[in-house]
Amino acid sequence: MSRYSGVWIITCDDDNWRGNLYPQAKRDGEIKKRMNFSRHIARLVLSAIGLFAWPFVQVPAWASTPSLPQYAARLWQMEDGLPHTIVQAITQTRDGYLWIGTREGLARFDGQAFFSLTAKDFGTGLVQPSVVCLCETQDGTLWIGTENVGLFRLQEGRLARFGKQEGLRDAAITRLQETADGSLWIAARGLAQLKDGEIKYPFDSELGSVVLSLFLDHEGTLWISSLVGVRRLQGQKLAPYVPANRRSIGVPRCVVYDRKGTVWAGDTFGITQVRDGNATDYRKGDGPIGVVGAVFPDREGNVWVGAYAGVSRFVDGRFIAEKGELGESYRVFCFFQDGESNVWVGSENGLIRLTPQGFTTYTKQQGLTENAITSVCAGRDGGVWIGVWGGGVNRFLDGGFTAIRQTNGLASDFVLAIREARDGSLWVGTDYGAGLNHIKEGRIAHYKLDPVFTALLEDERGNMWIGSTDSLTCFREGKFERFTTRDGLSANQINALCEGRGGILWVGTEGGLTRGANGHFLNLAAHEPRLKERILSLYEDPEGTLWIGTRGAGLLRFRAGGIDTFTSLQGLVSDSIYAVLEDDRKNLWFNSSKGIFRVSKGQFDKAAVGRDSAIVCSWYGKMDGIASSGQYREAHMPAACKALDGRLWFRSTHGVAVVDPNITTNLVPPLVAVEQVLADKKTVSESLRRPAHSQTDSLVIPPGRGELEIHYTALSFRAPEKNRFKYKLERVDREWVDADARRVAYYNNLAPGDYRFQVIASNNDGVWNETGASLALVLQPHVWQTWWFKGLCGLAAVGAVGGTARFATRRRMQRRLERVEQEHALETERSRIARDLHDNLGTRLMEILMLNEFSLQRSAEGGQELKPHLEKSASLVRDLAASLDAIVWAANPKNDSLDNFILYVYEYLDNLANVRPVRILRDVPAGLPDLPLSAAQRHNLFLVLMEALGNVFKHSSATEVWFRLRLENGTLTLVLEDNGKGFVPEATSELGNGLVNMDKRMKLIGGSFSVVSEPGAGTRLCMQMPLNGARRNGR
Amino acid sequence: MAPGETGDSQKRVQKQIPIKVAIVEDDAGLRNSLTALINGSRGFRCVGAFVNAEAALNQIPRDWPDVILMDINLPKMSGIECVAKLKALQPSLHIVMLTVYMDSDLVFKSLMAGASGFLIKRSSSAEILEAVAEVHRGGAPMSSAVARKVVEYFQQKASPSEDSGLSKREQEILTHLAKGYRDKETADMLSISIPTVRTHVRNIYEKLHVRSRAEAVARFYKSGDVR
Repeated sequence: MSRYSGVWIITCDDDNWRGNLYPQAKRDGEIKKRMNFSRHIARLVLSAIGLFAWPFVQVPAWASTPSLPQYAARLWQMEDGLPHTIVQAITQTRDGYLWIGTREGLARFDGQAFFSLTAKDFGTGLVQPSVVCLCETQDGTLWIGTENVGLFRLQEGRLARFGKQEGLRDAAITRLQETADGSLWIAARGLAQLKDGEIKYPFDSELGSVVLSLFLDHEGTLWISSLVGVRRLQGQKLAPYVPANRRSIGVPRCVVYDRKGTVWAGDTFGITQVRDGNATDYRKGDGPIGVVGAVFPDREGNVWVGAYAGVSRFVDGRFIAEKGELGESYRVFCFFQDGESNVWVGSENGLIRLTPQGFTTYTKQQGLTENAITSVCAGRDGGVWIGVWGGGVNRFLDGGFTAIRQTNGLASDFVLAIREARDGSLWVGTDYGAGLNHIKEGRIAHYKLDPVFTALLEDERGNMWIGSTDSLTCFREGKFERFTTRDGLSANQINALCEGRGGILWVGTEGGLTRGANGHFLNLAAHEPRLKERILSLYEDPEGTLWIGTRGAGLLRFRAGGIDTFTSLQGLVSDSIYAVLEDDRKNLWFNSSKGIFRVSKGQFDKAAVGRDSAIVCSWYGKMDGIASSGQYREAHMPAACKALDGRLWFRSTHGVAVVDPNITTNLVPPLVAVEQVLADKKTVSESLRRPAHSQTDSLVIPPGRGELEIHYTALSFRAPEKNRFKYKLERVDREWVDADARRVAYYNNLAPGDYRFQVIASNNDGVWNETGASLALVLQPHVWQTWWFKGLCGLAAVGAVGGTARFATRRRMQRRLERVEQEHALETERSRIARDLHDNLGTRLMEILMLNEFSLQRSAEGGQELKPHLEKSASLVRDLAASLDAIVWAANPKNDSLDNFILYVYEYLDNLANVRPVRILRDVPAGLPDLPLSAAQRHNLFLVLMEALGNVFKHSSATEVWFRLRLENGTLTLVLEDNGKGFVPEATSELGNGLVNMDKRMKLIGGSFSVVSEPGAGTRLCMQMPLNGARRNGR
Repeated sequence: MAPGETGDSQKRVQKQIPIKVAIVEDDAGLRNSLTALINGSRGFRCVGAFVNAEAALNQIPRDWPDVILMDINLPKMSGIECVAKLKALQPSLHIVMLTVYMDSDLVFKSLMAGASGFLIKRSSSAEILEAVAEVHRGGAPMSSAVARKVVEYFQQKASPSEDSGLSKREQEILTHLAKGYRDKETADMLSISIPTVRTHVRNIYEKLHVRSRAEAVARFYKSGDVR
């Protein structure tokens, strides 16, 4: 097969490079030359220029059929909310919703939930409408054709029957189709034309009374199939359709005309294709099985055929069956393609979505020699080289595979790393000491190098760099030069090579990153610990940023501005990255230990500065057409490449996965809709049944408690579970609220007034519709909250002053709203301060405390004189920590309640009792309402209590103290009683000063303070304060 | 339950088997100090120090420590959630929460999740070691504020199952603790021993944990959100 004529013979005297005899050399005349091999430089002498001729092996014929784009199926049934299992009609309206007509009712579908309209909504009594056709006309009306209860139209949320009064002959509607002139064609015992509100039957004599199908082709022509044959509507006239070589194509159940000009006619026995005037019948055996009920040409050029035995797709003269989610087949009633290229199938078993899979996986079945792929490399001719473990080198070009194997002269079939050079030749590193192969112009040269190859790279000067598990070698002008850690490499195991701008060679090693330039290496890992990771992949992007994939430490971004690390903690799919690629839309693609995923570059910028800290990855798996995410060996490169046509190739243990990034990405921004609004838990608006508002008007909400629940959705159907939302209620939310995948927003305690709710959404690939949907809301005030009520009172009292009153009240309302906003901001700020103090200062203090104690222990062993200082310092720190505790407590708005005040006092009392010989008892009723207590109130109450307790300990010598709390008639009473020696209130001035102080503090918060004490009979301090707040909401 | 563990702990002391302690604390300085404290003290050994809950969840189940010191505020997954997850894997685990200030709400939540005690971050070394030893012996400290919250918790919610209700004795003990009596005073007033009081407190914690779990299950069940 291969013509053998000679071989390179390389010898050297370096022990590290043994095995320099190439066995095949024996086959032909062999010449050896010894040569010197200095420590780092291996010189090679080429002896004979006889090479292997290199005939590519054509792999068997089936290999040339490239793998078809595949579709993934998803099924919805009654359990998921579908009104009935039999789906007979599907359409999408301009607002983005899908409408599903079933045997028993109609449903609106947003990809997640069905909203059903059944007999009750149709007003058909006990008869469930069997919806068989749907059509949205140019005026935005949805026409609903049923086979049992006639025609309906849905307009602005109202369903109305359209029937006999208007002139329709029958209640059994079979087909609906609108044409460009605004006519709606209705198949109902004959073909009716509805135009300008009038119904006519213009073609009774030509068509008869049975119309089987209507189809509007891409050119705007209406195709009509009836018992008398196929007709086309041309202008106002019907013309029979007759293919050139046949008189007629019979009486098909359905006729379509695709974008390539082919006519498809389905009937009871199969399907007929008419192309260029020639008709071909596909019957039992080579055609779809059973009666063909639906044919559908999609926008991508696929022709879908629905028969009694399931869905099939016509590809290259064959029908390929599309199985359902569980590999099953269904009787098909209808097809529909939505705006995102999903194909929807209405079947007897439910609703099926067929989503085009972005990935194609090539395996042995498609022509690879083996499935375990070690490396992939893009060729300059548009082809792709594939290194196969045990299968030599495969090449994909023009849709087919060829192979170069050991039988063709490759040193071994066990290929590790590959790289195409600038001249189009290919370098191949093979395993088990078989050495390096250079395939050029049909010949293969062998270089007998021993190591395990990991990465190959040709630099701009034409030098070949060879990375292996024990060194980096440069092949330059016929000589090999070897580099190790002695030359500045971070480690001897090389895993990745990448050429940077300005002639820089980036070397990724097991010990970190090395930069090479002009033959000199700089171990960057030694200077920067973050670059000391085990590096598996390198990619320098057009902006000059180096992306570094590590083993177990995530992704590093290295650029002039600094180094950033991104890991699974921020949302990255995997922390072991084998390859980094970039598509033409600024997305990075990764091959990793957990498979293939994609992240837009902009997300890393946001994550690096902490905004939007979570990185959202698109992660691809079996549903997307990838056979396996397994990786054979992590260290052989490249693990992925970008071909000339922009397609990305990824190696795996089960073939190569290929993706066209432009197709995979769903670029259609989703339409967004507000579906339902509930006020105080009652529905005030539902976009379908109770549309109390239109897009322009405000939704008026009657007086209530100010609770609002708003349901919204995004109409993207590729993977609705991956749609993301952000919303904002103007005048309440300053920033967008990130709702993630949640489809509802809640608000409490909204003051009366005008609001605007806005919601935006992204599709499964993170493409945002920044306009989104919005809804104006007016929360009406209660009568006593209204300006006009007050105004009226004013009018009754002083007549003409009413106008002024109105103005004033409105101003007041506005100011109140502003104040609420400010308070909200203040609360957020207080929370932040509390958190910061807690997290940073508190933890630091504890550390100091512990250091102090270590020192104390040491001081016991010597330096006794230090001890008192250290103890003093420890006590100071502890005091500081206690004050911090109090500040944090006071600052945190979470504590603005009676409950938290009581708990805090309890803790304080516990601490006091721990350090003093006194028993402190509490008498506080359980089950107190959790009333709001402002920061000022609780702060002052607590200070008074602290001072009072201080007095007790200082002066009273009490052994038992009672803390009592009562809440009666809106008044809070705190009592501190002790069994100490008591005093005469006016007697001591120091005490007197304290009492005055406490009294002042209580007055500050609108309360009062009193003391009852007698010498020998203990003391009773009483603090009272009215509480005016209502119950705290939503704790 | 308690006697067995007490026996075990005595045996340890006799044989000088140190108490294995793991630390979960995101602040590097404090984590190192705590590790040094534990390792430098006789009878204690630090078997792991983790920066966050995720790392702890990944490593701790491979080699269970006796006691875990857990920061209540961790980045990403909170200490409380981490406690719940660890307790689900190993119900006999003892966890002491570390908190900078006494936030009864958070402390109570971590007790519901299954923690057996807590330490304020200004505690002295001796207090820390004592708390670790105490929970390892089977003790369970309860402050008056926590006692009050427990009383209210058991009062306001109807029990999802009979088992998680408090016994009369347990209610008495709780009432005393909530009033401000210490363990010793409570024991005296109820004519029982201090260890008995502690056993009861421990059982109360256990019931709190069981009940909050039962409630969580009931909640998942209702909303169909079973994870």
